[in-house]
Amino acid sequence: MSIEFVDVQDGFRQITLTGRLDIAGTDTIATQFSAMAASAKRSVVLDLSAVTFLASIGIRSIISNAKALQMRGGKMILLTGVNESVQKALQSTGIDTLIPTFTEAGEAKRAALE
Amino acid sequence: MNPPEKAVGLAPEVLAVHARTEEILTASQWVADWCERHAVSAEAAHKLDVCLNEALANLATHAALPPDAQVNLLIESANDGDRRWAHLQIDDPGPPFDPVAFSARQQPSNLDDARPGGLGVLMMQNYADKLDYHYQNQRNFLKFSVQADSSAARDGAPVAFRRRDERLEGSSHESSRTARVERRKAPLNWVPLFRDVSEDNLLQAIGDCLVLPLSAGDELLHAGEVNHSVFVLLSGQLTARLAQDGATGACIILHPGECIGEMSAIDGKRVSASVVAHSDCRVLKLTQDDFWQRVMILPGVARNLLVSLTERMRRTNDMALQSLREQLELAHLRKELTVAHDLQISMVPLQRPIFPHREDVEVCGFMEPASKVGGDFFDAFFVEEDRLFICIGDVSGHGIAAAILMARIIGLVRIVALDFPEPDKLLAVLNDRLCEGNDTEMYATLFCAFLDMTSGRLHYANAGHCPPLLHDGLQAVRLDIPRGPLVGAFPAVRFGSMEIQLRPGDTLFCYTDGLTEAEDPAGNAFDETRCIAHLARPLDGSLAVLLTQFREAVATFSGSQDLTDDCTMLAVRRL
Repeated sequence: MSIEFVDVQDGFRQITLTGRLDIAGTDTIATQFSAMAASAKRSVVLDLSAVTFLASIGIRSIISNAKALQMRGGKMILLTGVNESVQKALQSTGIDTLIPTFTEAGEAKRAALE
Repeated sequence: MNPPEKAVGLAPEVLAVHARTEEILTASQWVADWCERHAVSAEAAHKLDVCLNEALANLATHAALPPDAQVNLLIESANDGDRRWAHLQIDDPGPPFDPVAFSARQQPSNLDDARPGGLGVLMMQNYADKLDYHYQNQRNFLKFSVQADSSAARDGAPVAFRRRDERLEGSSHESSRTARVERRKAPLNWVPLFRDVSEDNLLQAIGDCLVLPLSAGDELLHAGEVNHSVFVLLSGQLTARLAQDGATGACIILHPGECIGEMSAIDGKRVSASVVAHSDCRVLKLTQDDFWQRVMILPGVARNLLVSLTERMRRTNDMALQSLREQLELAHLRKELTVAHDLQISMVPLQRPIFPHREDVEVCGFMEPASKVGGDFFDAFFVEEDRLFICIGDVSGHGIAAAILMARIIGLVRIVALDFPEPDKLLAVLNDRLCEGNDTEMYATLFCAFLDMTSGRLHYANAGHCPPLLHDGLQAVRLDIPRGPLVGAFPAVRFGSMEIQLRPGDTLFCYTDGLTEAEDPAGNAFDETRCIAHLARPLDGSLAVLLTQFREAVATFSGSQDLTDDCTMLAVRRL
């Protein structure tokens, strides 16, 4: 499990998660993830395209960081790429209706800069 | 010729693990390895992986199992007609928990309402093609079944039923759905109702029946309506809700292969539950004529139907037993609450008066919790022969948590009052003690005072409590109090203190806001002004009588004997 971020441009940070977001994976990145999301200026695009496994604990971590970001006036955008297992997990829990979710990086970026 | 089930290479494999997060990955790899060796599709392997992870994560975080408790995993494949299934069974010694019956969590409509919890069960329900649960020998047995071959491979299966287009038009009941009607394709022997029925016979009987596609949220049946059809769920999940409003009430998740509406088809009564698509579904529709005249006459179907009705009856029995068990537990909890109530009452001095042998002071208290246990308290005792300590307070919240904090405060105050006979210091020490490790976010208000019996000097301090009233024999006024925050909230706070002279005949009347917040039917509070008015008279009788009169005045005012908040009073009169 790995986590990286890059500040793409002013007010827009992309955080990329790679690997299995199961209980152990979430544990590994949870603190860094919160810190990276909390120190973002405004919008965060969370790139999940390279997540090979998304368990409920990972979704919980995404929800709580999205809420924290929203409370500070920012927003979180999810980018799934063509990752079907991640798309299915987000759909089956209804998270894609709460947090804007895109398959295309360009669309995600546009939504982040809106 | 069909090979028997569990033929060569299909023997189950087992793995024992513990309910610890660090072992989940081991289990996950074991399942992945098995799936690869048995050529299970990547899609099916992923489904099993998700179910396994959620189930073990639940056990590791919620079941409170001892660290050496063994969790058994069993994986096998089995053929059902020409479908290949992979079954993963997990059994554990935790408290009974049935994720099949666990009502589907409402998907939140916005991020503010989204509570990050309960997702795991929802994912198990969504990812398993079939989810079975039973509890036996004090172990939970949870079985996830997935179709082992990819859905793409299955959709490519040959069309097994002829098509007849003349029956495409449905009755007016489903006219809105006919536009989306599709034809059934794959064989249906995996449906329990059609078990052991030959494909030819089945084709003959229902080859021209409709398959309705439903989108998540579509309603199939509405409780109370007349139903003329029997439905068989082919894919997806349906939710059956007993309550008519659909928002509350018990709900049951129906899985592929289950029948809907066969009971109303048998007895002709109205539908007992509303049935709604939980996910996108495909549902086979048999009209009552199809059902009785074509399906029921097939050899084996009647027996299959009886078996499924029996299973349903057993499930209902189990649910009734479970609910009975919960009622018993509730009754037991109520008894415990009564004990807690008695214990709490026994912690405060309720004898009237509290010091019957003192000739220099009369002290009397009253306490009535709004629920079984409350968060109010008071105390009165002599720290020295001629030095009386009194206090009254109110813990935020109600119920057991408030009662426990209340008990802790009473215990602490009794110790601290002996060591620090100054009210402001007492509050500071008490506050610091309460702040240590108070992560329950519960606080208390507290008024406390020391009364010197010889001089009549009353030295007092206050932590966010409402000011007591001082009665001089004719009327009452509000006591000036130093400002001070609640105890238990902010560490290292300093409190101020004040003092007055109590003359013989003066009465100090302390209370909690349950008294002044009691409301009349119009919503007016029994506020401080009404208290002062109630006390605008010479107080002739004993303090016990005074407090009883006060409680009656509140009952008369609010028009009810019941309290909405705990009500507590403490009166001290210098004689």
